Amino acid sequence: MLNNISNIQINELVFRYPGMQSPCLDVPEFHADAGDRIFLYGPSGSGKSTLLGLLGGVLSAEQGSIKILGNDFTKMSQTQRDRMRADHIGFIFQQFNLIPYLSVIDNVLLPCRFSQLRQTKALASGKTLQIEAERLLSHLDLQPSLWNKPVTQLSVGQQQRVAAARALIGRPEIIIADEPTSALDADRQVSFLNLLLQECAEANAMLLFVSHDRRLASAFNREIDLTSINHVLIEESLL
Amino acid sequence: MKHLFILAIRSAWNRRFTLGLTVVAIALSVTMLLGVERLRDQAHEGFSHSIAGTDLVIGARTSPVQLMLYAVFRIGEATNNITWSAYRDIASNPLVAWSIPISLGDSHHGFPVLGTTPNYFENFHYGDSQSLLFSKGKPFKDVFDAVLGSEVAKQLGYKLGGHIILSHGMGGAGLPEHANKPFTIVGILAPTGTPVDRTVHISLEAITAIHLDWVGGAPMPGFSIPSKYVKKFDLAPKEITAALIGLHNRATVFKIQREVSNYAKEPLLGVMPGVALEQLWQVVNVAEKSLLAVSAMVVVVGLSGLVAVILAGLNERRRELAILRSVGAKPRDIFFLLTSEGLFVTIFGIILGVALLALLTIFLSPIAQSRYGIVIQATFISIDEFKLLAIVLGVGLLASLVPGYRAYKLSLSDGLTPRI
Repeated sequence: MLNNISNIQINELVFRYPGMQSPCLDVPEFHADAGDRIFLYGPSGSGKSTLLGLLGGVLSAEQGSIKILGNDFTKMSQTQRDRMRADHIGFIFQQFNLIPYLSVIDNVLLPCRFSQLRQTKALASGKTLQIEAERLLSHLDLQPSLWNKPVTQLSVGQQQRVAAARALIGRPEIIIADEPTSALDADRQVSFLNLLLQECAEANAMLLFVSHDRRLASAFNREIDLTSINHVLIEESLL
Repeated sequence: MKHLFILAIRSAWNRRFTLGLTVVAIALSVTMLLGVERLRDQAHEGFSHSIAGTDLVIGARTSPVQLMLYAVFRIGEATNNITWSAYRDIASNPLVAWSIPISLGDSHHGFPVLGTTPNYFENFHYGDSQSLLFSKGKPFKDVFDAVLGSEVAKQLGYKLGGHIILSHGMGGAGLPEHANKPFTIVGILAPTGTPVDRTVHISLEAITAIHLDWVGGAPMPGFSIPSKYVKKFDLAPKEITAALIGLHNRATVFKIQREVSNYAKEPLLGVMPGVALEQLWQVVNVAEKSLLAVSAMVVVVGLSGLVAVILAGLNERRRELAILRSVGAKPRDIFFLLTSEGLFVTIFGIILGVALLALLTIFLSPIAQSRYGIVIQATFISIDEFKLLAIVLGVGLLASLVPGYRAYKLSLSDGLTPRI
């Protein structure tokens, strides 16, 4: 910790969907730092999607603070949060991660179109954007023969690796992966996870990995049960 | 902005088959809208172009529009003729510079036959005061000489020196023929883009001659006067259909017109071509307006189709929009993306529509010219047409805001995790 700023710092965060009586999320404290490899799990309905929406800045909390790299989302406008997300966070979803009408390379380069910062960083790493995208794809074990195929012809595992390359390009500080392996068979789950961890380490990115499959948890250095940080559920279970 | 444009184009290209149908629908509606407008324009121009320098058209008493239609445009038939003496009375007025008598009623393969005097070829003017030119030959001199309009010669493949047989009455096939009195082609006129091109010109004496042995619209049974004997008869015309009058001084036109109207011996009518045309436009104006309104409705239907197609596809694209948001797209980027997609489709529809109109003009203008005598020129888009296209584009943009706004709302509520 050089400057004592966490990648993610949440304090007294309460979130309620518009028109709902009780809050959906109530997190007194949570933080994650640069080297963290966090495995986050919890039953469905425990507020995972809501938390991801808040971390991504597409949802806005009414109370408390949620700081990404020291910037408080609750004090920012929607546009500022969109910018923060574009610049500093890479997302990987469960499946259907790719834009069907873009090539593999163009899918990987999407964040560079929306973020000048990530484009600059990608160019600092590779000679051209194309070369940087190809470097990441090779690192993620995608053969050059696949790069020019329509993305709809790739297997699910290949698609997830393209999505990982997209999340990693331009070295964002935070990678958020929402059940990225649940559509893969067991062997591929492990190999995908290993590739992802390896690339996050190389890019020095923090990884927040959301899954319900706790067999994968051993590869991470922190394992967090969402119900342990979300007090809404604790109160409900006590009742 | 640029990358959003590229995204919108690629997204639209990805759904080119469904959107393509919408493009075609918009293109057809644009073609119809512009086509109606252009046809209206060209018809107006064609009619105004057909006659110039004539101050008064004189005929039997009827409506001014009808007199213009049959005397100048060869549309419809005269119900009554005027006597030669009435014509001479008017034409001999010292205020009259020149006059052209016209006798209609016969035809040749559907082309009207016009009996007149040789000064027709000097005094008749059209367009911007252009006079008739001969591409071949010369005016008629002998009784059985004929001068053809350019379309007549072109369509029927006639050459100088050829012989033609005229039919009695106007219209198509099945008319009784003046078979015993063939005419010789002595002249072919240069194209004018007016009804002259579709006219067979002969002398007034010839009109009398071919009807010598006719009674009540049919050849007299068992009685035929061969061509070589007709000169023994008096061929001076008894009646004509109408006359074109040119004055020394235009300002005297009302005086002559009054004289014509008050002519005691028979009911006559004198109309100024410009005034009669204005009346004609008033008559057809209602029809033109409703045609334009219908075409405008068709454009609206086309654009509604566009909105429907994009809205219908939106639900399947919620995942795509969520991905774009996850990589940093703002909700207003999503709005921009969907709106520009609709706009592209509209623009392509307009371009295709204009191209289609150009093609149609090229293919249909010979038919319109030969069948209806309307010259449709393959002109570039006029300023009025440009305004219409701008309106279509504006309405297209407004329509495209609908899916844009819907996507904006969806992307706000879906965030990164659409619940499909």
